[in-house]
Amino acid sequence: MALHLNLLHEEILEHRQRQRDPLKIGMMVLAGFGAFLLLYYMFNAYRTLEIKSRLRAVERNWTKIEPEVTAAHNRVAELEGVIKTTRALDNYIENRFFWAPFLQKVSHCVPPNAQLTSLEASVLDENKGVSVSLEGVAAGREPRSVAEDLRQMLIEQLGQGYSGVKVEFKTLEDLDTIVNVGGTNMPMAHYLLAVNFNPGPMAKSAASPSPDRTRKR
Amino acid sequence: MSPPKLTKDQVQKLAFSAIGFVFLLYVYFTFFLGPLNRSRAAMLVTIRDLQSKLDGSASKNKP
Repeated sequence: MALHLNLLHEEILEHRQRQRDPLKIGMMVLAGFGAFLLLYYMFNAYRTLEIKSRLRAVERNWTKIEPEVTAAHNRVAELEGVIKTTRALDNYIENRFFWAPFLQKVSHCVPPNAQLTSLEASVLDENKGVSVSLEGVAAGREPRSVAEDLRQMLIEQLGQGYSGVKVEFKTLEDLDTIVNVGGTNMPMAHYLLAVNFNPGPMAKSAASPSPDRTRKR
Repeated sequence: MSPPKLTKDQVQKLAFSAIGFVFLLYVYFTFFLGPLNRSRAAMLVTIRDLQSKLDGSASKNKP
């Protein structure tokens, strides 16, 4: 068996110790970790730059389109205002009260031996009702019954077109005046009628001159 | 294999290195990576807002 003599064992041991130096190993690990952190930061910076360029492109597009969008928004607001006004006017038109059919009914109710001397009427707020005051004179053998006939006739005729019809005498008094009707002298009576009714849905269909009218929006 | 025995000088160096490492990490995340991530998130939010506006205006302007 050959004998090996290592005359440099001390130098080799020092070399090995230098290689296993924990400080040196730690510094290498730190350098590696630092390089990794740097690479990670660069990767993030690259992504950020990419997003920044995308943001610039989007901002450019928005700058191009922004005036049109603002104009469109203004136009929309303007049109909405017009639509609102139109709707309000439409509602006003559809909910108005038509006087002509009412006057026609009243004229049909008045008999030949009665006269209307005054008519005052008004529509209450928000179409809650119509209030009418009729004043006139009636002549006949029994002038009060003529006025009563007129009242009954009004109730009957107005009840066909309107709801909640109330016709009441406010005043009914005999007059001293004698009038000649058809060659016969007849006494007269003065009356004042208060008429109240609601222009309900029934009234709309009956009173509207154009029932086929539809709301146009 | 027993761990190599460190001298006092080496232990001090290791301790300083560890403290420096922690400080370095703090600086890295607080002054470098943090602001970068924040600015990126802000840009993404801005892009999303503008994109939604663009999409909305495009859909509204379609005949």
